[in-house]
Amino acid sequence: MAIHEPPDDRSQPGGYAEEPFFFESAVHRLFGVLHSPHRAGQPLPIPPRGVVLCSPLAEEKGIAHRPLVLFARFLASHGFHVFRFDYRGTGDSQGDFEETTLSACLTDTARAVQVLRERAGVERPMLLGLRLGGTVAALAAGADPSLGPVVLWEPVTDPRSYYDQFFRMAVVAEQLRTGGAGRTREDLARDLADGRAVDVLGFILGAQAYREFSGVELIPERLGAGPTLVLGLGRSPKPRPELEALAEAHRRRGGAAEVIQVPERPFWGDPNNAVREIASWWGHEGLFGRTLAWFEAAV
Amino acid sequence: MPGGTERAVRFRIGADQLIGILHEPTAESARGTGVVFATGGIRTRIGPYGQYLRYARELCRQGFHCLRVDAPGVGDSEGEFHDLLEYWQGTVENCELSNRLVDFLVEQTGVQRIGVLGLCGGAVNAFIAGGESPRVSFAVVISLPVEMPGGAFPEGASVYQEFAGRHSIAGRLEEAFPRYRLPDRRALFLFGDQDPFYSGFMGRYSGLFEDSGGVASPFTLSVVPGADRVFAGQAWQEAACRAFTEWLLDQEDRGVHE
Repeated sequence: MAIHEPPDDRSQPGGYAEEPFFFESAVHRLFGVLHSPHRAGQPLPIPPRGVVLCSPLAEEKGIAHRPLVLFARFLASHGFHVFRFDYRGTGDSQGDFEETTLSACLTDTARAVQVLRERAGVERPMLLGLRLGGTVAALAAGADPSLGPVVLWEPVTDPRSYYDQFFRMAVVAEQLRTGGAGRTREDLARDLADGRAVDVLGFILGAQAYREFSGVELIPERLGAGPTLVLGLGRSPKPRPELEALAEAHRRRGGAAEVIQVPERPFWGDPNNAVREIASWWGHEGLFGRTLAWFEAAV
Repeated sequence: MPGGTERAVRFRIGADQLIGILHEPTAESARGTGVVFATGGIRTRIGPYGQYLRYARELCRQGFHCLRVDAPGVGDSEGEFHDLLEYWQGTVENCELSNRLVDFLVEQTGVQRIGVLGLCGGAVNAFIAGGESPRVSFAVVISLPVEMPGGAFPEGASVYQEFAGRHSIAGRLEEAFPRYRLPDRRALFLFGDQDPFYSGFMGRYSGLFEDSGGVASPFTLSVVPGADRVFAGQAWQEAACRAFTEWLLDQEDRGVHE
């Protein structure tokens, strides 16, 4: 296992260790990386604290990957175990993207939580989810009251609109490529309604995956009752009303929920330029720091 | 896992731990040939639209060992870089990583023949590594970015022009071509026919595929109809995979590398 030694100054963040491995979830082998805090000669928090990261899906996952890795290292260097994993059909995990339904993501997240418990001794894992991963994290917390606090980075509160956006992009791309002879949004919708998978910007979206995700409602009954931070990211001075509504839904569920806006550049959308994409990996000290502070206070 | 196994591997370059996946075929199907996937630029070991993963799994089913690793500073690997443009171009041309991955694959699996596969920037890396590295016998070169004489990019690919400080890679490619005239070195060039670099490539290098002096060309061309530059559609990826798998199996059957 690679170990990064911390600096001598104990007031500075410590080091971390990283271990990649495959683990089983139902009938699939999933890939994950466990980041563990490491401080030679210094005590680590007892009991161990840990976070499972729920990643976004499709192209957003690929674009946001490096910032999430950097965040995991940041959190680990501050004493948290962090487990990143790929849902079935994504990343290096087994399966096809058609199988990456909401129920599959929830099953795989529950398994990842179990892995964090087993491997790191974390008794009350916390969750952090980005975009659709935030949607998954919110619902996972609702299904498992033993989980700890949850942070949602720009969660997708209306998955149907979210998918519509990608359908529009796919249709435009295809119309441009075919000179107007490509599929329409109605074609995509009809295929999905008839149970057929569709290719959306290089990702094969299964009919069941679309049905499950687009039909989800983040209503109080489905959410967790533990402390929740809903975080908006972008130049707007205030969080989107949808994020405020989500936080309110958590409060109606009986949990303490806070919503904040961090004025940093989003890092999951296609910047259409490699240099801008690399630049989007950095400059998230505010996001990382606010999230760390919230986790430390919430534990 | 059907068609072989996959295991997470760690590989160190200097102080940086690199993380990757090693695909190992079953003992019965193993051919003793390995493929290293070159990423180039900022793409991870998954490849654009997950295609590296699909390609590696299919090749593994066909008996090839495959290694996909995130380059330093990218994906799950450690390392950082601060000069964006130097990194962008440096990883494409610098075959040190590919060479180290080749060594690692041989150490881990004992394969006797090695090839490098890459797309776009990874294609440049694969082609150069295929020509320069003594342990590499073949290259699968997908969507090779090609400059026109004078250093410009073909029409439709001008976005690549905007990187200030970019220097021409044509020289490195030109140096690599004659190295494939050595025995037992082969390269497959694969393009989507909607890729602007395809027409640029054919305009500049179509003569490569002609036999010379009674000697068969070491280069093969395969074109996927309708495919764009990055094979953003799964059907195109499947067609590309069929094409290079057939080519690789043909090389194996003909014992080209014996």
